[in-house]
Amino acid sequence: MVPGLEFESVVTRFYEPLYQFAFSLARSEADAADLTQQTFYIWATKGHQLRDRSKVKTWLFTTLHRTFLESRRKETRFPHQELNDGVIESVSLAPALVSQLDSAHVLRALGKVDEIYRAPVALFYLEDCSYKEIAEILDLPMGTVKSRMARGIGHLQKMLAGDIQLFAGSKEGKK
Amino acid sequence: MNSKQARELLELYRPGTPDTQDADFAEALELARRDPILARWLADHCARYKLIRERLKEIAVPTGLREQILGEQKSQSRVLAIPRTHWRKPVLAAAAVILALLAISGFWLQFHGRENSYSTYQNRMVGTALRNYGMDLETNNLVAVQSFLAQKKAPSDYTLPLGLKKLECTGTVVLRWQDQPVSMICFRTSRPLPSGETSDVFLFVIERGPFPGSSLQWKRVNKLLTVNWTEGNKAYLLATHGDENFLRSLL
Repeated sequence: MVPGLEFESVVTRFYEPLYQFAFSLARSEADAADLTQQTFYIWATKGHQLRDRSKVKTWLFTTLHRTFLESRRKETRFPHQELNDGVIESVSLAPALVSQLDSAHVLRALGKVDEIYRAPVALFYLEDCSYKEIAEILDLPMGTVKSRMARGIGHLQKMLAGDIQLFAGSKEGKK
Repeated sequence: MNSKQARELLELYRPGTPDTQDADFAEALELARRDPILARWLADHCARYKLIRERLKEIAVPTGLREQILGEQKSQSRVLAIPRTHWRKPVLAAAAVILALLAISGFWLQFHGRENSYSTYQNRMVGTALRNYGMDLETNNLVAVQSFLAQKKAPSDYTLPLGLKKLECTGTVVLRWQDQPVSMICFRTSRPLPSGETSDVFLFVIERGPFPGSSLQWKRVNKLLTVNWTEGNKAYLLATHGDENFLRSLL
């Protein structure tokens, strides 16, 4: 069993980034809080099995991601489909345009990104994990992680570009 | 490496992270220093990365989540800590006694494990009620609530206690507990609500599954008083602010 003090320090250090990762995946506060709690529940019962203490962060993110995937699999009941390497039209948003968007816009756009790309994209932006760690968290080969990330970022920017157009349109309409 | 290859690689570059130590990124960054067009593109890429990262980092963590996680673990460890003392019995204890102890502690763990699991469920549900949860459906129509829950494959064929039927329903939320859907049905009494709140009584319904059957059991969890019971294949948990008499009036 993980000693209480250690458990507390692990929670204090990681509950915020874990919740943010969970929220970017589940897009609901209740689900994100539940995923975070469930992750620490698993840590409290199985964390002692982790020998290499430097891997606590990777372990927690991996557990949260697996818990999310399990719950999604049970909810959706359709087989996981690997998407083909479809060409994603490259959109390079000017930073000045991105700066007009708030957190809700970015989260909404991330929510529209295909699910298999969402976790890699969330980890790309939210966490300072190395690509090796991200590959471990997602349980994917490094090459797959990188290609999903690149495509996911392309998707996200496309969604953001759409949001910016809508945003600009609504501003024009008000004039 | 040419400029095109460097740009493709730098699409995944994150300033201020371990990426800077990567040999491939270092080579591409060096190329960007010598190529003004690539350098301009890289400056935009880094600015975009920082802006999007900042926006995502603004996701607010619900107040009290840390305390709730720690509270849940404390109730967990209380249950798991007690049997350990049994294992510290002298080595010379007779084999029969050890076997008997093993059997007893096995039974104890099985019984209390379930109890503890229910206690974790209670904590989790009360925590949700105390947090700023988002309603999946806002309505005062109980029939609409049931059909919404059925559509979401959450428990919907529940029996509401008579007292609850007299309250105004405010809506419902579908939660999950260990991959099981939980129906959270919210009500409001005529008592003044805390600011920002729309409900002050919460009923949680889950398929009974492994939870032991029980008649009414009262327990204070966090700031709320709860009563739980099972009926048919459902486990019910009712939570509200107030005392036992008030909670009884809702049954």
